[in-house]
Amino acid sequence: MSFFYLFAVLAVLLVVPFIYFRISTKGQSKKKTSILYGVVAYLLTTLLKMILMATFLPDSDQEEADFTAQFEPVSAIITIVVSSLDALGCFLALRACSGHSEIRIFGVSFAWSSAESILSFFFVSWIGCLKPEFNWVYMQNALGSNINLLKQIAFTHIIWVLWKGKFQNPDKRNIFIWLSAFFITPELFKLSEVLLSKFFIFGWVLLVLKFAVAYGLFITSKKIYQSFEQLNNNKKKN
Amino acid sequence: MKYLPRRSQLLLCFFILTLVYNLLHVKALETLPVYRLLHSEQISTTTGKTFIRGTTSASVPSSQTKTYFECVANLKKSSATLSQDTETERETEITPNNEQEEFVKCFKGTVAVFPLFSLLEFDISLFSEGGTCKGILIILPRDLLTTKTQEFVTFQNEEERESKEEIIKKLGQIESLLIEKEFRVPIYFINEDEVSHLFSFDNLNSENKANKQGSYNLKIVGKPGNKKKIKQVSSLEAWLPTDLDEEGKLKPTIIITANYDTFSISPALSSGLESGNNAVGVLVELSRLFKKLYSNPQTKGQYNLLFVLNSGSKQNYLGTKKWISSVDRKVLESVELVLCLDSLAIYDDDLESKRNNDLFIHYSNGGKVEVDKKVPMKFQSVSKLFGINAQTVTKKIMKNNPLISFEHEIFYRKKLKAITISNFQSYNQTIRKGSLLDLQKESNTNNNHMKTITTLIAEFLSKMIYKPQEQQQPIAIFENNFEPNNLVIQNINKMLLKYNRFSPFLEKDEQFLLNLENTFKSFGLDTKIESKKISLKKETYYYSGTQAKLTIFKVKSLLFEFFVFIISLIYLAGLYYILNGKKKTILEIKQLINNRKKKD
Repeated sequence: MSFFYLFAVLAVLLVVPFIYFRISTKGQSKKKTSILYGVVAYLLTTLLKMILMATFLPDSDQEEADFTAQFEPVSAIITIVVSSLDALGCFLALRACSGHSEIRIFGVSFAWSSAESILSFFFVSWIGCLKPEFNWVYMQNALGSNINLLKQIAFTHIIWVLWKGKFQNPDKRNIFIWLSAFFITPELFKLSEVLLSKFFIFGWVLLVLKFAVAYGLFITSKKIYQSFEQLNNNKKKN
Repeated sequence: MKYLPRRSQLLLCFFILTLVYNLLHVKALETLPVYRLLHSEQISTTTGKTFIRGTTSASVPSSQTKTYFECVANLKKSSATLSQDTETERETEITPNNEQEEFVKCFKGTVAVFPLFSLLEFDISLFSEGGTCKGILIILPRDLLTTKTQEFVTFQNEEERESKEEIIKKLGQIESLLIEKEFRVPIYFINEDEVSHLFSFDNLNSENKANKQGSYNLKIVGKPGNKKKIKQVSSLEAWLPTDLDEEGKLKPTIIITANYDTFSISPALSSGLESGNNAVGVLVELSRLFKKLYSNPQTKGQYNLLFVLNSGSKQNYLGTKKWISSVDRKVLESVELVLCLDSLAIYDDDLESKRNNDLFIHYSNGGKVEVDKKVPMKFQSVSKLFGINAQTVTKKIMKNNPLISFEHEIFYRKKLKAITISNFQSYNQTIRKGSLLDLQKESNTNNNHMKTITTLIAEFLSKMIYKPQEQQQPIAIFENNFEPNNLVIQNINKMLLKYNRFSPFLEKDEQFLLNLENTFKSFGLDTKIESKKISLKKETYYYSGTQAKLTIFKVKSLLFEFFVFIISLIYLAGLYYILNGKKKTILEIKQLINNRKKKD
């Protein structure tokens, strides 16, 4: 493959989050601190998760990308539990940075998602795209990282609402929010890919499905956030 | 460039440089060895005209590949649509033979990839003219004669299923065609193992699976090579003498001969043993056994034994002819029998079949030399003791016919009694002539059949030498310490399999010849290598440059990747437009243009 393909993949990987962040936080200040805290939070959370996974996750001979692999429930449960650390990391990052709520949410989401893209896909894509063998996987990964940004924004919105709501009024809506936070954790998202691959859903079809789910989560989380903010504003007025 | 800020200028320069780099250089996926079809020229002595044989071109420019299955599938599709349009049913079946023009057109501008057995389905000479395709790559299957490969040749029903021999014969005819006709496209052979990850012909029903991962670009850089003709032939003699008689003259001599050269339509693939060279190991082991016997005065025979290895067997036994004309007259006069060892076993996974165990005793009769019929009968009776069926085949020699069918005919013409022991009944069987189907590989050398053959021949020779009273029973010498050592035969065979032994390209001091000489010397035999110069009336030149490197590129075209790049830019612009909103985006673009104008 040529540099054209490399440029295309890197552009999709890196430029899209930047565009989204720039547009969402236009004319607002204290963006850099939220990005910084987001990146640090991601790195520390990932490090901690890796240590815990290495300690508690049982050895498996199966490769990650092995679609014929058997689903191991014990590993899956440990993965889900450890992945709840994402919520903690996100929460700490939101708490540490200052500024308007939207700046903090978008800043942390953008930083978290970009850090994840760079560490997971950037170097792999750089080397892979320069190989002579053409492969759509790198473009799919880049588009997948864009979808992960949507999902991360939704996730951060949910964490914000849970934090600021201070668990008041434990009713059905709060339980729903809790469950949403649980179900859109990154590891569970990855697990769903493995499960879907059993039905031979991967590649472009999987990407479309992921986008549909992520967009749905994004819209839902945004509505939850907006209704929460409205509730807050009404309280302040009163 | 002056309208752009400095950073953008730098980026643009970088972009242009990478564009140029990409245009000039595309990295290869991998390189593999390929073997070229023989290229030879024969000059007629009467007309002086040159006849060109085999493939004349050596290089294949970087071109897309097209497999046999793809074009057959295209043929079927195009005829299906045609019959749908015209609402007629096709009367004849769609095969490459019936739709020759369409079939050949399919490969225009590409490298045609054919599995070997697909050549049975169409006439390869359709591609002899330049311009039909950029080159032909023939894939040699891993197991040439397994039942799986047999299934390749499509049959209407079980009754039409042809025997293995028929398939071998047909392939032999195709091989002959390849080296008799002039092909103006480069033709190369490659082993299936090398390309199995790229081209898979396992699932023959699914034409779409012929290319595993999409199409490839192939490039072969081949050199036409130098013109070579057979300048000399080397023969290796190992002499095991007995004592002289009372008058000081030589006692009778038995000559045991074999040939070490072979032939293949691709000289770089001429390392097989089945066309006659599996007798070399047997001959070497026989020399060791008899040297051991002769070392003991009690078992020393009253015959001299001369073990000879010759070259040029596929060029009408050129080596043997030259050798016999230079042998010492005294030795020739003492010769009582010449035992010529031809191919002694053909490898087949079905070794239990009677056909593979059969041996044929070829001898000529009539004329001034009469082979004592007792000799072939003796061999027959000995072979029965070992459970091997040996049949006699006699052939009258026509003096005007220069063609030598079997080696014994040369000795017969010199008025010497000679017989040939061979696994082949006829001289012109495909594998015997030298073929790509000569499939004796290293793994096949490990079988005890050659040991049995060696014991049989040793037993026969010992009966000739020692003349026991009880002829029907085995002499029982060749057991325990005197049992033929299979390891010696295997090692000789393994050694020969490593060298290409195509006569015109053999030098005087070939390594395997030196190894054989050392082997004989280690047994204690008086050995020498003699090279004789050859000058033929009919000049046949062979071109070297028999191997080349194949480079495979699996790339999408640069245009395609540029297209992907443009799409990604459109995606980014579209995303910006959606997120920013229509009004804001148009406003920003206007502002950008105004800013540029202001700067100017």
